[in-house]
Amino acid sequence: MLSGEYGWAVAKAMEILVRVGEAVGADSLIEVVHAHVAGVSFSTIGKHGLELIGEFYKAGGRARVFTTINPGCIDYSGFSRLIDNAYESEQRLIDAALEGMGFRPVHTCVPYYYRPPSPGEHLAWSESSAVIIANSVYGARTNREGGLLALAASLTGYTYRAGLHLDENRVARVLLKIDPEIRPGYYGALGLWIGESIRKAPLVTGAPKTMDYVLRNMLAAAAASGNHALVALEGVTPPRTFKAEIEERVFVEKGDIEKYVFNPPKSTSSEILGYLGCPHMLPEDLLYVVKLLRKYGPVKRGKLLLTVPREFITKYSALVREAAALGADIAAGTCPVVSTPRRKFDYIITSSGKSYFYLSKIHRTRVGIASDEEVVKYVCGVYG
Amino acid sequence: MSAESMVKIKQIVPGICKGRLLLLERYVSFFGEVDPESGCLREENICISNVVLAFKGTRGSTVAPYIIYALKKNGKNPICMLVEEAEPMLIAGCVVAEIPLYAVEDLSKLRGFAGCHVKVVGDTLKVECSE
Repeated sequence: MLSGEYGWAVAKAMEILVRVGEAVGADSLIEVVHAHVAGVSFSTIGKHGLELIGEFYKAGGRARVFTTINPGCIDYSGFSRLIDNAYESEQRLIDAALEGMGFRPVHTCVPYYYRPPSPGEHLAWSESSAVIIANSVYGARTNREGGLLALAASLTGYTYRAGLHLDENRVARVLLKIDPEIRPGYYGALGLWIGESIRKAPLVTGAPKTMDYVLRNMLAAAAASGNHALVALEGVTPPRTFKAEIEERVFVEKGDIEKYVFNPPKSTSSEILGYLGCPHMLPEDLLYVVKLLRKYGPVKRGKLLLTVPREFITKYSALVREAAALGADIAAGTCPVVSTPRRKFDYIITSSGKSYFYLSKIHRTRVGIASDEEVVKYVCGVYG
Repeated sequence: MSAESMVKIKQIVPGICKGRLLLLERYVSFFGEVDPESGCLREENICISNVVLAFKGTRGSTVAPYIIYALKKNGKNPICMLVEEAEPMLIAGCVVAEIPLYAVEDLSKLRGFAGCHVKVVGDTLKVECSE
C-alpha cells in the first residue's frame, strides 16, 4: 500500500498512518472495523478541505471498511429556518466526494446508532463525543483521531497501534463520586466540570447505570471541555475493557456545576434559543422531546432548535412533523457547531454540555444549561 | 567570517530540508493564523513560504492539514518544518503536502540563528551563519 501499487490515495493514506504511528511510538498498524470521519462540514474545513477530499476521491480512494461521516453545514431536510444553507453547493461537492469513496452519508455525530461497536473492537473514529462514547459506553477501542486520520484509516482499513488501542493505556486513575443531588438533567454541566477539572481518566461512581442521553451528554461535554477519550462508568463500561488503578479520590457536588446552569435573563425582550440534540438525538430522544412538546407546547417564547441524524426526516417523519407542528425548528444532518446560523440570539438554553462549550466560543453567545424538560418549558412560556 | 553549529533532530516526514531559517518560538495555528493564498501570517508581517520554518508545534486542528496542503498547491509552502512537538494533524498535513518535517528537541538551541542557512544531514541540522 505504502509503495503506491494501489495508487496515490492509498499510498498517502498509509503514509499518514505510518508517520503518525512512528511519531507516537506505535510498534505496528492494526485493522479497524469502522471508521468515522469528522471534519466534513464546509463551514469548518472550507475550500481547501473540499479540494483535498476531492483529490483523495479523484485518485481512486475507496473505503475498505464500514465508514460513516459527521454532520455537514446544511440542513438536509430543508425545513429549518435557523440554519443557513448558504454553502449548499460547496457542501454537496464534499458529500459527492465522500459518497463516491463509499462512505455512508449519515451526516451525524452518533455513528454508534448505525453500528454499535462490540467490546474490544478496534475503530478509527474522529468526532470527540463519539470517541469517548465508543470507549466508555461500548468498551470499544479508538483514539481521538483527526478527520484526515479517520479518512486514512477508512481507505486502508488500518490505524496505528497506540494510545487507547493498548490495554496499558486504558487505566482509570481517579475515582470520581457524583453527588446524588446532581440531577440527571444536568449531566451536561457535570461533563463540563469533569473536562475542566479532571486530567487523568476517571472511574465514575454514583451515575445512573443507563446508556441513554444522560451519560452520552456527560461524556460529550467532558470530551469537549477536556481532552478525555475514556471515562470509565461503574456498571456501564464493559468489564475487562479497562483497569482501575486509583491514585486519587474526588467528590463532585452540586455547587461545583452551578456556574454552568441557566439563569433566566431579566429582560423580557431577550431573544432566546432553546437547543436540544447535541450529540444528535436518537429515536428515543426525539420521542421524549415530542412528548414534552405535547405536554407544554406549542413553542411561543423564543425558538426551539432540534438536531437529528439526516435520515430521521424520512424514517421518523411522523415525529418530525409533529414536533414542527408544535413549533420546533428541526435541522437534519447538521448542528449549530458546524454550521452558520441565520440569526443571532441573546441567550441559548440547552441541556447539552458540549454545545455550551462550543456555542459560547464560536458564536459568542451566552449559554446556560437546563434539563430537556426545563428547556422545552421555557421556550413554551410555561415558566413565569 | 562564518559560524557553524549542529543541532540534533529526528526525522518525521523525510525529504530534503535546506534553506534560510525562520524561527518562531511559539505555537502556530495554521487554521486562522496562516493565509494559504499569500503564505503569510495574517496578523503579522511574516511570510513562511520558501524558508525552513522552525516553531514549537500546532494545536491539533482538524483543518490544519487542509491549509498546509493549500500552501503547497499555491506554491507558498515552507521548504520544510522543524518543530518541538509533532502532533498527528501536522504530520498528516506534511505527508499529503509532501513537506519534510523534523522534530527538534529544544527549539531554543536555534535562537540566534534566524536568517542563517540550515541543512538537514542525517539526524543533525547544520547551521551556517555568515556575517
